[in-house]
Amino acid sequence: MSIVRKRYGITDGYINMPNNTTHYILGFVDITEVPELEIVNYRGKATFSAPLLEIDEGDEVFFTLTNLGLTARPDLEDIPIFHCYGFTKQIPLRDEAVKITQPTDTSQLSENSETSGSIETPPHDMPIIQDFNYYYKPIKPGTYTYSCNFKSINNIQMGMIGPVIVRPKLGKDYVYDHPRTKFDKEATILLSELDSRYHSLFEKIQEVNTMDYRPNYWLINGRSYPDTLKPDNDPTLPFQPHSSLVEAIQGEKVLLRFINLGFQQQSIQLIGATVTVIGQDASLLVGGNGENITFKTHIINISAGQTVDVLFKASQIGTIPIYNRKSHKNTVAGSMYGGMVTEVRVTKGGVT
Amino acid sequence: MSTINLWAKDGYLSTPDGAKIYFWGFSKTESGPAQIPGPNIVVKQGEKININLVNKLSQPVSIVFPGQQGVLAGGQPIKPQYIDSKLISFVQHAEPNGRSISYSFTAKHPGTYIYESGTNPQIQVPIGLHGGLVVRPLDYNSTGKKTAYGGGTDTEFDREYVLITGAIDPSFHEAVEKGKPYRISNKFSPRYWTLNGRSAPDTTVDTVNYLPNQPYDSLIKAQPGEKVLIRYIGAGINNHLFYFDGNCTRIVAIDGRLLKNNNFNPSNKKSTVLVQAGQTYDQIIQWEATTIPQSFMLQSCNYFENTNWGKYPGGMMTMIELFSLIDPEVGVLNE
Repeated sequence: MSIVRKRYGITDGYINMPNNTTHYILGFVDITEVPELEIVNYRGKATFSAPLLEIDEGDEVFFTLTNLGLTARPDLEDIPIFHCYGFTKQIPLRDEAVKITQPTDTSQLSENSETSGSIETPPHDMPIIQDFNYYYKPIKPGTYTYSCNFKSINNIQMGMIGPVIVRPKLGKDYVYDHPRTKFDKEATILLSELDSRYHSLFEKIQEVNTMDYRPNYWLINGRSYPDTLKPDNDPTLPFQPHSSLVEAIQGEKVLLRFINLGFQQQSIQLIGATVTVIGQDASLLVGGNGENITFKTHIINISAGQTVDVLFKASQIGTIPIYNRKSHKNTVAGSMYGGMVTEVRVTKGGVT
Repeated sequence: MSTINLWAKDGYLSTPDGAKIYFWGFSKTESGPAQIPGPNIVVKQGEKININLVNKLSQPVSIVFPGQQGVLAGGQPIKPQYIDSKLISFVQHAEPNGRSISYSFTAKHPGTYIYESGTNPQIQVPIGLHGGLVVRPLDYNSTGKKTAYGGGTDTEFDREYVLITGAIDPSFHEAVEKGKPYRISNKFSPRYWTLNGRSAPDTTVDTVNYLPNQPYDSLIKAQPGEKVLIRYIGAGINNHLFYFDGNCTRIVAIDGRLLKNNNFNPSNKKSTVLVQAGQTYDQIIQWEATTIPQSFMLQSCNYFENTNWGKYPGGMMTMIELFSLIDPEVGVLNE
């Protein structure tokens, strides 16, 4: 349990798809501990998916959000703000922007709010190079999500989505505060879709009708297959730094954290492995009297906004393909074998 | 040890409004017709299974067995196949025009599973290359007490039926027949929805000769009080919600895994069952009836899926018929 300070910037950027197209996105970039004069250098460098927010149960998190401004949409000065879904006992005052209007000085806080430190009431949205501070104290471990909840139907599609991992007090190699949830290797599988026509119209300041949503790319951690198998921080994908290839050693217990921050329900199938679903929506699957209600499956059905934690033992050497059973989504703008496909590669352990 | 031979070939299926639609399917004999869904494979837990696939189509075909572990293809562990670092298949495949491949595995768990193509699955699975795989528990006795998951699992049944969901978009099948490109990612619009490859009212016709390419009907017959095991298999790419008119079903297993966990039995009763893409559900349902004979409908909750090109009745519906005495040969899985 400690005090954690993080700072993310909101800005825009471009991402690459395997058919050599680029697409405009909005998103977050991690600017923790970047000197104040240098934060403008991060404008236009949003990453997709957004940076992983990794905190421990009981930490006190002071989170600063800075609007870095957009490179391609100068008309959008005020950018909507941040929300972590699912945290229990959070003070909504800090977070639910739509309920509070204007005042930016502390003298107008109501008597029910805290007056500690430099925490202010949130405006509707934040002008450029304006900071806003949030305070979180997660008390339940698990896999959560963050995005924005103002004009969210636009901003979630545009890429303001990211994973949150809250680690339990039991240890960093457990998912929840329960010995059954120990793992050796973990990976985050963040699912989303991209409607390229929507992104291109938004970039060109055209009106977009969200009812015409028709994604033509399907992504894991912001990349489409075969890019999903490229390593972290691959130079051909500068703003999609997260790989989806999972490499494990035989005998390891592998944890896959599935997060669905698209709008569609997905069915992700694994060939050659049966996994145990141990958690859903950051809750350990345990009954009212402590019964073990975890279950085994080989296909994970995950709805929009859900998170699912699965564990399996990499008992055999080989490759386990992971792909979307709604197989028409394993495509890149219509052509074959793209989309939500990745692999788990299990290799022999020991010294070679 | 069990050996099953499958031939991947093409054929035409019939719809109740007289259309003949091109499809690809598996056949259990070399000269026999392609069928949709593929032949039901019924094996026993712990048995070593060999599946020989002969590919008579013009595209490579493979078979994946979701839920099974330790599957070997040609004696080697399965793994994705690449040409010039481009993925062409999720597992080793049989080359077109008569080439073959053998898969082998031991079915460790009883339950209901799917087998389907792992090569270009977005085309090959909806076009018909899929089927049901049933693994019987070790202590299964076809003349004695029949259970889905073994003694003590509370899964005894008297009759069993397999219902495999699917959807047919005629323009997609036509594009495959003519070798034309088809943007399945955003153009797939089914006009016919199927149970065991047929649309209602063909779902309740129980003669094989009438529809040689779609040999399985979906008519469920039971005597009052009997336990009926219904194995749903979601072989399509969409989810389907089914409901039982006037009764609740008890779901005992999902994806080939029993819900009962030692002493804790979370098998639950529901009147609607959501069969998601790639999922299998095992459920046991009993009917009581005051007047015999009686019939009930089993249909999709999405009513437009109960149509044939917009005309009702059709699509994913079937009937449950209760009689006081039914032949013991009815409700036995044909293999």
